[in-house]
Amino acid sequence: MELYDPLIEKAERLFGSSVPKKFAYDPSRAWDDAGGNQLVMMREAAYELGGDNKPAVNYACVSSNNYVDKDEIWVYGRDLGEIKGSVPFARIVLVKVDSLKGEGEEDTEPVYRAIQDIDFVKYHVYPKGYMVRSSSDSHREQVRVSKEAVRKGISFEQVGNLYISQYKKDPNVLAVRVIFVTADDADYAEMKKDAKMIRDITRTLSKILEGMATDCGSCSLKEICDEVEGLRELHFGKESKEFDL
Amino acid sequence: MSEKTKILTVAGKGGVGKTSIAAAMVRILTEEYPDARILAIDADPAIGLTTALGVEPTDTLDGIRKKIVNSVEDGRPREAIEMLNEARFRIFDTMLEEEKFSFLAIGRPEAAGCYCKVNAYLKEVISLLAADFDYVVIDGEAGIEQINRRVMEKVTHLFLITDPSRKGCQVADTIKQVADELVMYDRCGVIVNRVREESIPYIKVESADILTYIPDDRAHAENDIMGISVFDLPEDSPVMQGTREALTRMQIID
Repeated sequence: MELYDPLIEKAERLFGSSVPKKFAYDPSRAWDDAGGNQLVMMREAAYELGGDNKPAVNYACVSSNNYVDKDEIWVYGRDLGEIKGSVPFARIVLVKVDSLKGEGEEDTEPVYRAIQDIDFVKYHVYPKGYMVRSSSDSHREQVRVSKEAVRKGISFEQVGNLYISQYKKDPNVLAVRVIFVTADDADYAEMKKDAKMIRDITRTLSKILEGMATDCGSCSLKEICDEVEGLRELHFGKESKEFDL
Repeated sequence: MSEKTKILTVAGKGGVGKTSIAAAMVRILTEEYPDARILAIDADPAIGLTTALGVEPTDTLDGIRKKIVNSVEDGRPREAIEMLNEARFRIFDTMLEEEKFSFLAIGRPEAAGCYCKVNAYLKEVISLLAADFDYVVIDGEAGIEQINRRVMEKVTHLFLITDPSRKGCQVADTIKQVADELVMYDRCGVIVNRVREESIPYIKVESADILTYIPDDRAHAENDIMGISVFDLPEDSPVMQGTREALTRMQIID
């Protein structure tokens, strides 16, 4: 089963024509964590990523296939020190996981939980002077970057290192690529569609694992099952002992 | 709540001038502490503080609540952490950030149905948000219990506002009793508004010290009718002088 793989394969085509800057994971270069939600007021902010109603997309995709083989930060477009005003923004995370295992029907909850835990890492990273606010309804992630953080030289590489260090606390995570996009020619609208699709797939998975409707005709999520290869097999083959993502 | 955050709440009978005094507090704080983070919260369903401060919010906390409730009713599975972050995201969209202060309107109280969980998330987010400000000024409904239920449980400075009427003073006493039971607060004082000199000996508020008497101010009443912001009032107007005295006596300003 390769639920998210088509979206992972497609992702790279959406980030624009520029060549990404790539940084290997180095925890010693992680930006300071504020330890909790912080307030950066507009008057204190140098700019807002995704501000002024510009696109602001976030999603995380997991797979047990070899799309991501090492921990890296990729940056498409301008880095934090080069940005002067509100810009479109996306933070996409691709995660390689081990096969997630369950031992029968009653043991399927860990699969959904593992995916959710990886997605929820975003709520536990607080780069200092980098105020993130996320909406799961609109798949938006906007970031106010403080003037002080810019003055101190904050960069996507450092912020990415902080994110990766948090992802790697999850034992299911084998490798992570955090991708920051500010390129003007990136396809943010398509990324937003994919963010919604990922959300719907996970949601559908949750419904399946909860053992809810088995009558496709009456299920509100039929459309997603029809579109995503593997969901229907999972739905009607819950006796499977192992879930490959 | 952050120890440094001072949360000032005005409460009292309807029509005694709470909103003007709350707005005057915001103005004085912006003048005394221009670098401070100041949040004005309009917890009165009539949202009069918007006019008094000259701001125009596009949404209220009630609007956020409805949107979140609608999304929950759509059947989307939600986890607590998602709900909290969704509330936080939307509050920042709703909160106005003026040059000198920020502003959040609570809107009308919930109608049919019980959405305690959503209300609890919103209240939690407001409390967390308030902790990042130096001063929070809340213009309340007539009673204090709504503030406790809908905005936050902790108040540092409770200002009971009354006019010279017996009824107004009784309401102030009652609110104080309710606050003693329901709301955590550090200090409490009374502002008597629209007073004529000769009536002062007859004014009795038993539950708390009277901080100041604000004379009846016809010029301000006319401004109020015309919807003129408190920022356009002369510094020596009675409401500004009286509010300044009250803030000084509560040791919020020097």
